[in-house]
Amino acid sequence: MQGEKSIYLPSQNIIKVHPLVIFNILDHYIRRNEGQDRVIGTLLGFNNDGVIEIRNCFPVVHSEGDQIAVEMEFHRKMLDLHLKSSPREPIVGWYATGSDINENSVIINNFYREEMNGTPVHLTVDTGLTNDTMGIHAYQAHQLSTTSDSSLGSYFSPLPLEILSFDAENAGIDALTSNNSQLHQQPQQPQLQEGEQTTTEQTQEGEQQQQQPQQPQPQQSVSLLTELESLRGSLTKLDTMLDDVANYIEAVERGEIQGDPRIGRFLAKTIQSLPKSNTQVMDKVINNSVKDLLMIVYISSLTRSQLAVAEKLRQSLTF
Amino acid sequence: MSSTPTNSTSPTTAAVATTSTAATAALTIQNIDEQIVADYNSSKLDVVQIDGIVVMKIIKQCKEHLPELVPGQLLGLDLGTTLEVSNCFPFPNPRDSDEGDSSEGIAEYQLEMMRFLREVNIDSNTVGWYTPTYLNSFFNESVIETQFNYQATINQKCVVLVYDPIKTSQGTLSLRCYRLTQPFMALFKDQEFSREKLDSANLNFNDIFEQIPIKIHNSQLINALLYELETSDSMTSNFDRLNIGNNIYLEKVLEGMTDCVDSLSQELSKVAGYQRNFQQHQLQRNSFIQKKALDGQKASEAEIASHLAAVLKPLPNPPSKLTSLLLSNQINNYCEQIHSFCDGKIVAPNLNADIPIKVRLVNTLDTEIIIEQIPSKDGSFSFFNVPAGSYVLDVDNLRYVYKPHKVEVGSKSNSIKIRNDNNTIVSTPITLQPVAISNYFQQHVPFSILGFLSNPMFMMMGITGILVVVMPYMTNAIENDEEAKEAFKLNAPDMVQKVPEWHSLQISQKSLPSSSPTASSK
Repeated sequence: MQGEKSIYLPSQNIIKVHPLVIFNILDHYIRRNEGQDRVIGTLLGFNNDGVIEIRNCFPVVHSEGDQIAVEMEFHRKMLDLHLKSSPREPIVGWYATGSDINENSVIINNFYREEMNGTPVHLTVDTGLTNDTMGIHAYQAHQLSTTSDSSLGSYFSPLPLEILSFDAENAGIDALTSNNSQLHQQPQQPQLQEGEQTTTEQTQEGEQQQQQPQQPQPQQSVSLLTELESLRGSLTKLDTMLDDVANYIEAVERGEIQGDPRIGRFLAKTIQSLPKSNTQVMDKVINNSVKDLLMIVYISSLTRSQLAVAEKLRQSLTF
Repeated sequence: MSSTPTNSTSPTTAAVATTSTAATAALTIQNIDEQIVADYNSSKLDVVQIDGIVVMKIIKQCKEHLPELVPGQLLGLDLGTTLEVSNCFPFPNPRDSDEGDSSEGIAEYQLEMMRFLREVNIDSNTVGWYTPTYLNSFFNESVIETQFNYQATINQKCVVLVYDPIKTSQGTLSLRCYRLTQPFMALFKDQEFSREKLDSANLNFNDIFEQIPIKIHNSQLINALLYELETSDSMTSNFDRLNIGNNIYLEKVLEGMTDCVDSLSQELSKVAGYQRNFQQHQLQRNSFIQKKALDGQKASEAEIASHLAAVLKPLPNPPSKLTSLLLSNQINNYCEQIHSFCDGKIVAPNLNADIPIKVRLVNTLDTEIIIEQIPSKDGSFSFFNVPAGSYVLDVDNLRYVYKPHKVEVGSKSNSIKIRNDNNTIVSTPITLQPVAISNYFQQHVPFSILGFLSNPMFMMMGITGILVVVMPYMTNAIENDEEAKEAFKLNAPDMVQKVPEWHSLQISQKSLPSSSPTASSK
């Protein structure tokens, strides 16, 4: 049945991946067995009229050597368990680490095709970080055949992929990144290290990777930011963004940069969308809301002191 | 939250799995064994280290099941005084599962899940559980019971991670970590929450849960991914928290707080009702004993009990003190949330920092006409297009006081006169110097005795006191001085002599009747 889809009509599927999936894959890769080159697992999500949203995944035990073995039992049990907790996420495909697709991938792909009765999505994450990027790619395999029953091979066609996250996830990622101030300098170094090692000595790198989670790196763990600190972060960011825009406009006005009409239109639109506000009205509104806030703070302080008084009374009654 | 009571049985079964894994995982080396045992036995917990993946998983699971709040299990390692949480999985949503009694199903699910996760080298030790809540309103008895079960049966260091989806959707990740305190654990074991018990334990409402600081840890690979996400994409929620119109959150917190206060007052009235009942019982009891004593009998306990049962309703159970304790804790928690939320909105003005200065011209005739200006960075200011009239130039600053100037603007151009407070005309580029630091607070006068003396009441009292002492001496001086006496006598007409003295009058009256009989006898 796959033969009917010719390679000249690539499917217009769009893949949307949640960051959690990538997190999971990387975690799985870090926790792989000694000497193992790559890890695979099952992707869960749903297909929404050509937009395939990958929302979750779980690792699957497999071994690659002379023979390839995927623990089907494990996969099925795990799928059952996952369906119990989130029944609206059927299996949509599978993932593997590494950047290349080899013969084993074809075999695994065939296995998944039988499991899910459809074309599985194949997601690869390049944990070797070649070219200093986390190469995340999605593919879908098409059978090359001349007749409907014979198969010449498989063709993995790349699919457009984007990383999708909702508000709360954004906040989570934000919390993970924003307090990682050293993140901006540090990643360069490990990226290079790991990239070199994968190309040269795979086994040694594996050992080192295995040790990594066992050694907690104190400079890597950071505490959550308070409300005020994160607010300051937001404001600084907003400020720099406005500065950037202003610099850009000035540069265009001076004639240093060729102005992009699209950006100009966008900026004009943005400024137009601002409501015209009277300064006095604005002042009044802000003052009122500050007063409200002060009132609420006052009430909560009052409640707190009441509680403290009650507590003191109780203590003095007992002694 | 509805699923938490059903989960309460699961940790016991899960504990078996944990200990067995610990046994297999424990290496044969003796000191590592000892270390593990020592870690297990000590209850000290300084920090909880959470992997980024756990944060993401919790967020995802919670988002998926909204509005249902589905808890889940945390997996990780217990290392010294830190607790590493490296993975988690959700419990199945009770709404989705068709089987009736799910408590066994959940326990089985947990075991299976942990077994499979162990196969892919994921830490399969239970280190606690997580639960999403709205507005951190999780201080209820079912949560405490579940947490107690975890801490009592699995590990003293088990924690509960509390995640607030509402707060998080506003752009700030809200994740807190709690566990029950040791004194409370001891108390909860006995299931005894009478007043006396709590008093003897000296348990404060703050002592039920202890909050444990959270640290977030990422492996290098995940850091690389985060770096990529940050640079490549514009998917940050940094600006969500700048939204001014998010008073709904505050409203909800306040609502919750009011509800809590309401139920606390209900609880109080319950206690009062119980007390009234109790007093009535005592009263009845005493009067019964007295009656018996009057009859010359001794009342036995059984008789008293039967009498009381006949007269009054039986005494209800005393209301649990735990409820009010929990409510206080919850209220306190709400207050903290409000404060932390408002911290970002209201910042106390820092008096040491640069304080904005405003220069203003106020029309003396019509004070509605005010021209205000904020000086530029170098402090210069200039007014343009001021309508004719007389003005007062004033500086509005929180910290310093400036002298006002009078400004007269004529109808012709260039006819501007500026006078300082001595009424002398100064030339146009004027320089304003602060003359004083404004003082907002009055110094409190300390207590002193001299201060009392200056009080008019005390002055009056003092003068009268002096008079009392001095007057006798003054009169004495007059009496002792003969000359003065003479002078006094001479000057003053002798009024005293002319008036007959009282006793001489009496005598003369007495003598009259006595004389008359003698006369008649004669």
